[in-house]
Amino acid sequence: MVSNLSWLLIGLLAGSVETSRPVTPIAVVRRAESVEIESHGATVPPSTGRLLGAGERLVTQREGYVELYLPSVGTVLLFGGSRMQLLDPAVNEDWGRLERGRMWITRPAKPATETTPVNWRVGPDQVRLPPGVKVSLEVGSHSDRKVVVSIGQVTVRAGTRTPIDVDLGHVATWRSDRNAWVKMAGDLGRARLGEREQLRRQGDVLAARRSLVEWLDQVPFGTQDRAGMRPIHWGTSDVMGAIGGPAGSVLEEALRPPPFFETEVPAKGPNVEVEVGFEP
Amino acid sequence: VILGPIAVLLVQVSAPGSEPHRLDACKDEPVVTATASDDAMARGLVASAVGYEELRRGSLEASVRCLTLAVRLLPDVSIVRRDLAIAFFQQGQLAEALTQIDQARKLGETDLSLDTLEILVLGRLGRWQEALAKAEGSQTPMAQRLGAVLGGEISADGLKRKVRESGHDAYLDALALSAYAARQGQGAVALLLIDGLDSPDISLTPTERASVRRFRARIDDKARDWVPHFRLQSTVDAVSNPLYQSSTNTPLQNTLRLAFAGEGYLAYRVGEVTLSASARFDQQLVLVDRASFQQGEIGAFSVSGGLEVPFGVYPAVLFVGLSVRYTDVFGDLYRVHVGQVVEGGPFIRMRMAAGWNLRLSVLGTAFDFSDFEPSSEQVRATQRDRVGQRVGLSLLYGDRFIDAAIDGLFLNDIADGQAFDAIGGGVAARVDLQATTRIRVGGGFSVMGRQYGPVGEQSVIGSAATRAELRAFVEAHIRYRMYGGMDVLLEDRWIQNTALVGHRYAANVVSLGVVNQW
Repeated sequence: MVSNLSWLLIGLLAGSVETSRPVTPIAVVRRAESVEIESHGATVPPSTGRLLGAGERLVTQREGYVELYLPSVGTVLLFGGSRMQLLDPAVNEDWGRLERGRMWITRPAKPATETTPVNWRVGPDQVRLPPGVKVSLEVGSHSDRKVVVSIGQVTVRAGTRTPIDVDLGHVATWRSDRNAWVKMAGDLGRARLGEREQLRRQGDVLAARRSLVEWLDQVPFGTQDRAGMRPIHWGTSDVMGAIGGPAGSVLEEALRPPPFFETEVPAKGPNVEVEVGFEP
Repeated sequence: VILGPIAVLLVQVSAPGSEPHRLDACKDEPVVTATASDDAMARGLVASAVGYEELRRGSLEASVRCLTLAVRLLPDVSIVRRDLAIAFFQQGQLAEALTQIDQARKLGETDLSLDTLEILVLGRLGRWQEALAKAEGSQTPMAQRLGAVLGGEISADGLKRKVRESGHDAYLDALALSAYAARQGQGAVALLLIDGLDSPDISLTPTERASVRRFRARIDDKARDWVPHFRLQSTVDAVSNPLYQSSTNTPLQNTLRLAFAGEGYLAYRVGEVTLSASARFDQQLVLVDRASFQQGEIGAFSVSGGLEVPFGVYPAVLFVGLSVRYTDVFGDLYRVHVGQVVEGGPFIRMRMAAGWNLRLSVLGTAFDFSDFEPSSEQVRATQRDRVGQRVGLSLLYGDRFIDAAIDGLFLNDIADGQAFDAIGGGVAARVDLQATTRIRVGGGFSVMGRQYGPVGEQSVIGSAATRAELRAFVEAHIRYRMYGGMDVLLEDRWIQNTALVGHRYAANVVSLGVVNQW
């Protein structure tokens, strides 16, 4: 009882005025834009610091964005036009379900609360997330699903199909109405889209842009021109080496003993004298 | 049980979202509940989220307060430590920021902004080389921009690829690449990249716009398209076999000589195209037994010219160029004309990775020997004048500390005399290392095999018509920086040409002197 009231107090201190609170919060809202929480039949706009529990659903509008932190999972981003629900991990080891749209999960190599395993539902299907992974999950409008891995390896289980491992830079797509996987490699650019969007949404919280411009004042000019005294022409004497540089090479070739002395050079031809006589 | 609802009421009375309301979550009060650890977790999460929000709003003091509390309540949450590191950095508490970055990494944080943050902190601390090394290993656009500003080749390449992928924040990319170009001495490119960046259409703050204008003025003022270098070298050489005589016919002869060399190098950049020229002179004075060795007392000059054109988006990966060198050599204080050589041709250079280059050269060469040669009227098999072809492949590496190369060379010579017709090839390697701030050490070797001939009629005399020779060259040096650009040089160069008895020779020189470079 005391604990529940404390949760209530903490949630309210953080800005929420909702009175119907989850019993066991599993996530906190770090940032929210154009997003609503469906909780116990009511719809409320979340604010920074709002605690979320199992059963609560987040719905982002077209330009919406929400960043959550789950101590057992890591950072979870939900992008525009998406819907997800937090689940009770005690039931199926599932921490949430992406119902529509696109999300991004970063699981630190050492999560704050070590809970193994951690699963996330993609529609009805399941993605297992070991520590140290970065993964993008998508549920399309035609029951097509996609997992893109930018760090680590995840395992996907879907229906009666054999589970597959999806590695770094790989994309796995499947549809609920077809019994086949499509797994492709080499889409790291797409895999990192989520990360880039996070950085963009985060804005210049590091004030890096200011530093970048400030550093211009300290840029030296042309001091790192490594061409320096390196020869313009890299030729035979530079490769073979010589005493006294290119000139020394010429002197060596002019004075060195020849491979054959003149006396060692045979005359051309068979060197056979043939006497020819003519009959009258 | 009673205090909770009262607090709720109090909170609800205050305006939601107002400062006191939000920051109440960061009050450092003891947690006294039946499930203290759960409550600590919850309070820590809320404090961390509020601290992050305050950080984004620029309320640094409040942010540090909230995040410090959050770190205490959630010591194992890496992202909270990252946020606190950012707040400390913004407040100028750089040592504390580095500590939190380190802790976040130890806790497994992989957020990309952590790299950028560390680069910024190291830069603010003046630890530029560490900042550059960190930037060169990072993938985020901002880290790559910072790396390019610091002169990082990998960062500049990564930035170039991102510029091509999207146009997002393209003006920051252009600014960073401009700084990179300025560092490389490419003033014209640097100006081109920031052309129009200070116009009102670009969304820069007044401070940023002023910085860009200041940078442009500095480029106008200081960046030079002319890059001159000069080198003067003076050594005393202890020489064995200065006339390259056969070591089997003549006992090895030694002498001492003074050797002077001067070299000037000039590069002129037209946009990204580099035109370069150099001139070199050598003069030797034999000090011991001059009468015996004066013919080999080199007096020489050589001139080189070249151009290199990049292909592709700046900074380019592929370069095509042309270079040529002419060398004219005399002996005995210009009383003897030894000969002259012209060598030149096209090359392709490819930047493979940071510091790594692969270069393919195709060269034509012509040797014209003078006073040591038989007259042109005499038909002799040992006449040395020749033309030839060379194909060279070089793998080059260079950074602040190491300059290294591995070369492979194929050669073919057609001489006036059959004895000097040759076909062969060889390999070479060399390295020059900055061992300490004052000492550079280096060395190298080459091994070259050549088959000379055929002389006479090969179909009649068979393998006796050709002779193979193996020439080895080894060099080692050490330079000690005295002051400014002046070094003391100690160097050894050794040649061993392995051939039939009577044809083999060896030579060696140990040099001690000074080198001055501008």
